[in-house]
Amino acid sequence: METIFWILSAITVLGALFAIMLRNLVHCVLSLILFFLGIAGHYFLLRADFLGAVQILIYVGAVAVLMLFAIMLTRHVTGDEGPREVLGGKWWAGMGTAIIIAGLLWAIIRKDQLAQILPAGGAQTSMVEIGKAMVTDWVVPFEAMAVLLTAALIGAVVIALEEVIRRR
Amino acid sequence: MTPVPYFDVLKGLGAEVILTLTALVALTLDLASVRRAEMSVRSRTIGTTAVVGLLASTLPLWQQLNGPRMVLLGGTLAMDDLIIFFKLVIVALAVITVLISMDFDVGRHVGEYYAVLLFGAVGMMLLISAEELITIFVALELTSVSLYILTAFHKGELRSQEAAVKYFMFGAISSAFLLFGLSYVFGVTGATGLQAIQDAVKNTGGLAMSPLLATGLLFTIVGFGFKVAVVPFHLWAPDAYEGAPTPVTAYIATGSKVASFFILLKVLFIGFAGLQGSAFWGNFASGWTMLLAVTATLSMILGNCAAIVQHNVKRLLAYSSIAQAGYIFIGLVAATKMGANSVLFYIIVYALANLGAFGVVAALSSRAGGDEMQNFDGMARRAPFLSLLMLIFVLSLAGIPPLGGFFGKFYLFASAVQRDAQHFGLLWLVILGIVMSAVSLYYYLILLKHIYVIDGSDQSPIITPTYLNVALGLVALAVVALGVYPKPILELLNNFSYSVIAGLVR
Repeated sequence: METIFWILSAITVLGALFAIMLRNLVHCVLSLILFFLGIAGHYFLLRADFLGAVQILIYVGAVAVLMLFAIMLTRHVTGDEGPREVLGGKWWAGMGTAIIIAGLLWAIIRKDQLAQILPAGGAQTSMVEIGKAMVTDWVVPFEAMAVLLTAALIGAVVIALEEVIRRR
Repeated sequence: MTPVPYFDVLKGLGAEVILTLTALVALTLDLASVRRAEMSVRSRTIGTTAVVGLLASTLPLWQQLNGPRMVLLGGTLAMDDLIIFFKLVIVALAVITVLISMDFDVGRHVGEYYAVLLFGAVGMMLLISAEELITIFVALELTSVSLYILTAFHKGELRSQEAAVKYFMFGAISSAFLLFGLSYVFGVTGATGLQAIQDAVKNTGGLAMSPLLATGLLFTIVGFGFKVAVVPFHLWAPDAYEGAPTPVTAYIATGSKVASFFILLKVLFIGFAGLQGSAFWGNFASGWTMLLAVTATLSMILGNCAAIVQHNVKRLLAYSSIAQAGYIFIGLVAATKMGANSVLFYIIVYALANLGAFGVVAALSSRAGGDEMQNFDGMARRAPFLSLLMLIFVLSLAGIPPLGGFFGKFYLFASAVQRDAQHFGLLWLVILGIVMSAVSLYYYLILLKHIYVIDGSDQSPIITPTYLNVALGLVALAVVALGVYPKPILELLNNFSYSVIAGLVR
C-alpha cells in the first residue's frame, strides 16, 4: 500500500509541476491529465471508488479533452515563444506562500492527532449508498444543484451568443 | 434510516419552489409570446411576471411565521422567524431590483435576465435557511453563478465583459478557498451541521491543539471574505460594480451581501462558537474575532481612502461598500447577542440605502449619458425627486442622524464598546470606525455637491416612470423610518436572534 501511495504521489506532483512549467500549452494539458489520473488513483487507494471513477470520467474524460479541443481550435495559443517564468518577478510571493504552507504542514503533522481523526481504512461507500443519501439526507442541496445547473446553462447560452461589442 | 419528512421539506421550500417556477415561466413567456414585441413591452411584461412571482413566494413565508423552530435533515433546511424575516428582506430587495431593471436597458435577452435574477434569489433564500456546510456551499454557488451571469448581461459593452470575467475568476478562487477550509473543518470535526460542529469543536481542545482546525477556520474566513468583499479580498469589487449593468450592481451589493453576512454570522456564531479568541487591545488571542478585527481595520482604512479619489459614481459606491463591510465586521468582532443584533440591523439598513443609491444611479445615468460624477452635475434641477432620494440614501450611508445608517452604526459601535466594557478592549476598533466615518463624509458630500451645487451644461428635465419613483420613495421612507423609529425591528431581532446566538456563551 505504502509503495503505491508514494508512486502515485510522485506522479501527481510531477504532473502538477509540469502543467505549470512546460512551454507548450498542449503539453501542459497533457500533464494536467496525468495529475488528474494521479488524484483518481489516490481516491481508489482511499477506497472512494465512486469518486475515483467520477474523477476520471469528468476531469480526464470531459474537462481535459475540452481544454485540448479549445486550445487546438484557437489559433496562436499553442506557441513555444520564449522561456516561461512561473512566478515572473513575484518570487517573494512564492516564497511567502511556501513558508506559510510549510509552517502549517509542520504544525499539523506535529500537533494534530491525525490517526485519531481519520478513519483507519478510509471510508468505504458504495454507489447505492451515495444515491440513497442524495435523495434522502441531502435532497435540499441536490435540488439546489439542479437549479444551479439550469442557471449556468441559461447563462452559458446567453454569453456564448454572438453580438457586436462596442468599446466604451 | 429515519424516514425523510418530504412534505415538511417541500413546505419549508415553498418560497424557493415558487420562485424557480416563476423563473421558468418568465423564460417560456418571453420565448413563446412576446419575443417579437417591442423591447420596453417585453421588459415590462416579464418584469411584472417576476414581481408577481416574488410576491407570491411570500405567501408560504407568511404562513410559516410564528411557527416553531424546525431543523430538517441535519440542518440542510432550518426554519424559524429570523430566517423567514430575512427571506422576506431578500424578496423585498429582489422586487426593487426587478423594478429598477424594468426601466433599464438589459439587452435583448430579457427573459433570461429575469430568470437568472430569480435563480439568484432562490440561492440567497436557500443560503439563509441553511445550517449545514454542504448546503451553504451549494447555495452560495447558486447565488454567485447567477450574479456572474447577470454581470455579463451588458453584452454590447467591453467593461461588462471584463467585469464578469474578473468577478468569475475571483469568485471561483474564493469558492476553492472556502471549500478547502470547509473540508478541513469537516475533517477535524467529522460533522457538517453547524450545531454538530460546535459540539465537536469543544472536544478538540481549541485552535492551539489543532492546527488543522485553525487552517480550516482561516480558509473559511478567507472564502467568505471574498464573498463580502473586505480588504484584502476586495480587488474584484470595484471592477465588477462598475462594469455590471447598474441594477445588477445593486443586486450584488445588497441581496448577495445580506445573504452572505447572514450566513457568515451563523457559521461563526454557531459553528465556530468556541473559537472566537480575543481582539481586545493588549490582550489578543488567536481566533476568528482577531482575523475579523484585522480585516475590518484594513477595510475601513483602505475602502474609505480609496473612495476619496474616485470619479465614477458606481466605483465610489463600491469602495464605500467595502468600508461598510468593515463597519459590519465590528459587530461580528463583538461576538455577543447585541453584536449579532446590530449586525442584522445594519445589513438591512445598509442594503436598503445601497439599493436605493444604485437604483437612482441606474435611473439617472441611463438618461444622463453615463455614470461619471460630471454626468450628475446639476441633477437637483433636472430630477428633483430622485436627487432628494439620493440625498437620503447617501447621508444614511454616511451615518448622519436621523437616518437609519446613523442608528445602525451607533448600534454596531455600542455593541463593540459594551463587550469588555471595563477595559475598553474593543475601543480601538470603534475609534477607528468613527474616524473613518468622518473621512467617508468627504466623498459622500462631494457626490452630493455634484448633484446639488455644481451646474451642469444640460438643463433639460429628466422624467422617470412613476412606479420606479414610488418604489425608490418607499425604500427611502424605510431608511428614514429605521432611523427615527427603529424600535419595532430591534424588538423583532431581539426576540428571535436566540437561534443565531445559541452557541455563544454570552
